[in-house]
Amino acid sequence: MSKKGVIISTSTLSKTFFSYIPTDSFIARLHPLTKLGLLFILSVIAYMFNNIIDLLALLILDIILILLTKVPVFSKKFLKIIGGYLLANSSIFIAWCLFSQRAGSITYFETTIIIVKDIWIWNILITDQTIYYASRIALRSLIMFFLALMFFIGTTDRDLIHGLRSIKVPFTICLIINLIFRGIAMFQNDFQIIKEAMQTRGVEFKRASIPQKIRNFVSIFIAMIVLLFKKTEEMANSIESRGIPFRSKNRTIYHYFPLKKKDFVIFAAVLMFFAFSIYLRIYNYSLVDFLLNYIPRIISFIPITLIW
Amino acid sequence: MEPIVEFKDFSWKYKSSKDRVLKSIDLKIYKGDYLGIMGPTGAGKSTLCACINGLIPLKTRGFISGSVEIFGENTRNLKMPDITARVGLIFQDPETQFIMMNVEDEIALGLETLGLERGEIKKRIEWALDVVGLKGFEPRSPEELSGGQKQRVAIASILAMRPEILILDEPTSDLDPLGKQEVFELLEKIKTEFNLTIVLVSHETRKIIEFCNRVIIIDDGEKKYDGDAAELLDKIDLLKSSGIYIPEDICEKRIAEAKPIVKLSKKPIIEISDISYTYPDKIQALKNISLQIFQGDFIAIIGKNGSGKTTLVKHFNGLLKPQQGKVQLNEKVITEYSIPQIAQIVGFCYQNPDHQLFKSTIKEEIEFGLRNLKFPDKEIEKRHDEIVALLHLKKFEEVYESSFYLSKGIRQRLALASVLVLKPDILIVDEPSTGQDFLMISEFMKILEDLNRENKTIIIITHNPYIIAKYSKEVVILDDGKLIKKLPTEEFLKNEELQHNACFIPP
Repeated sequence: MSKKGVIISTSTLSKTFFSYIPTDSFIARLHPLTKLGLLFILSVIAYMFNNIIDLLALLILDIILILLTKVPVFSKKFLKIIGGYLLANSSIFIAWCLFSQRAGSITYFETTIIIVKDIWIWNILITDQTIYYASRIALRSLIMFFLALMFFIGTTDRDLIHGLRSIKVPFTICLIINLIFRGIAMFQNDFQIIKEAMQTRGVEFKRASIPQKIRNFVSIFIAMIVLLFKKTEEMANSIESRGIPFRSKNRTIYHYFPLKKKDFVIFAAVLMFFAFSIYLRIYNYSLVDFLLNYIPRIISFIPITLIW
Repeated sequence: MEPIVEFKDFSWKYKSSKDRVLKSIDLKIYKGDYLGIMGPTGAGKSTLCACINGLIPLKTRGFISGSVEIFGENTRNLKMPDITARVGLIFQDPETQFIMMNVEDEIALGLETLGLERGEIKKRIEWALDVVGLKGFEPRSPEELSGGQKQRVAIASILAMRPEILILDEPTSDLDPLGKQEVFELLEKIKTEFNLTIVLVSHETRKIIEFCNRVIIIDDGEKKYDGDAAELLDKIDLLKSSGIYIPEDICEKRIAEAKPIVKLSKKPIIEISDISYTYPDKIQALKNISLQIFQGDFIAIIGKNGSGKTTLVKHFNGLLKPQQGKVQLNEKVITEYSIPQIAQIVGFCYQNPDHQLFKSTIKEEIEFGLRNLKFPDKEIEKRHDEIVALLHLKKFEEVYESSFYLSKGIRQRLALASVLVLKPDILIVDEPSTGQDFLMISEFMKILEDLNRENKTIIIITHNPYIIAKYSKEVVILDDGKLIKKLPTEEFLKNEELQHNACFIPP
């Protein structure tokens, strides 16, 4: 652990969804479970607001969180992650526009693509409502992506395991999660070697037709299954041979990673925001409207109240 | 003196095996013993080790007769943690022994189970890493370690638990000769320092004689020999029948019988000009390498772990493209070939056949490459029959419907068949000796030797000094991504300085 209580390590899963970028920031120093809480609660809040402006406000909050991680936002690795996701998000927007067929007050485009007798008609209808709903879906997806990104660039797989163990999550569960992470890293490596081995026997992945590609991947998975059985058995033997029981009263914890005051403060703030969002949802208020209209009034009352 | 481990007329049969894997074993191990276990692959050596640390019968299904006693207690009456606190077992594959996310956590895992306090765990981690020469490696993840380093971590994680008996099941199979020597010296050091009892499974006859005080030979589940390690070489017939390597002065013989290398053509079949390669994690694996390989060459690419051997050969078949310099195959830049074209010129056999076999039957596996390249059925049938006859796979094809049930040695031969069926002029084999006994290695190398006589170019990556000295015509030495030298094997065997550079120790 570093002086500030952060476990300094690299992520075993750095090539997967755990795109850990080591930084020394307020977010990086938070307990992994606090970050996980932020991710889930703010994602739920994103589904409580339907107004585009509100969703944009939440997106700005996400961007602030990302900036707080002190990640080098212009680094090649970071831009690659963002670029990849923006591409995926654009396809969500386009897919919604192509398939939703939502009626609106202004029609921008309408055409029929396929008619299968009376069974199915694919009609593209793009109206103001289509654009509105597509933007809503894309924005929510973007909010959740930025939250996940905040979590994964600021947390290693190892931090998460230690975090869970420190709050007394049963060792069995922690070990299983750990083995899943370890297995992903190991099989990622095996997948690459098997793919190369197929190439050395003349298999082309890039130029192959889709059915051929499917057949090639099935072949890879057959080899992967054989390896999975062998390696799982060997790992199980390795665990058993070190006498690691799933339940043990004597087990101690070497890396203790407790929740600190700042974790409780952040958690409390997020829960308050959650409660506030429920209130706004019940009374159908917009988050931004409420903040702009009511907060200045409340603030202006504070000095009067104080004088009184 | 009372034995600390005692097998009494012990037999074991796995639930899935047809026959008993261990047959009426009587064995006593005393405190302070350094016991070597030898025998062919599949003889029951690993099963014997699993019996000493309780995995059998406590965690494995099967049928048992007789008993195994550890420190006077029958293993059937004990619990795993009771045994593992006193008996440590290190397996062959360091990859699957690495459970946690980094070195520090890996060693701490066993110590937490022992219920030690933080301060004591920290002390033991530092001590164990110091003993295995990995001080400062605490934050490294398994992906940042070489095979040899992972093996040392495996040893450290068991050592830190301070067992009284240390069992090592082929712990040096992934290491270069110098790395192997270091592990053997390390074991000697800790044995003396902590009065450990060591049980070591190995195919390294010389090392067993040098370091162990006692040796047993297991063959087909039976104990064939139990005696002084120094007297092992008196049992030549037994060693031969059990497929154990008999040390010989192969280097002197090779030097004495040196023949000039005749090149079949003046034009190289592979020409590498000034290539460099850096991986995305910024590790520069190759630095300005230039090399020519000719038809009919038999080359061993050697060097210590992580010297760039695999990265270099991956350039020979276009799996990697050089970031600087060029690679030519038959005088044509390799990027001008398509993947199917390269596959018919350069064949590649992987270290672990499990990475290379992806069809469920032997026939499908052999024919996979040909069908993928859309060869006519008649030609596929013809080539299949030829390769099955050449590599003696017919009887396995008749007996085993699925290739998954084949032994590792036969799976390796099947992997070779699946590559050779495409009739490549060049064959690259990555470490043909891992996890194989001497007999299997000899059989496999004999096939490569015969192919070389038919003017195929053979390139092998190996750490095995016997393979290098006995079979290769030339060696290419790599060190830290640089080409040190390419020279005839006989000259290499005379040059001690180059041998040191290549981490080579004569067989």
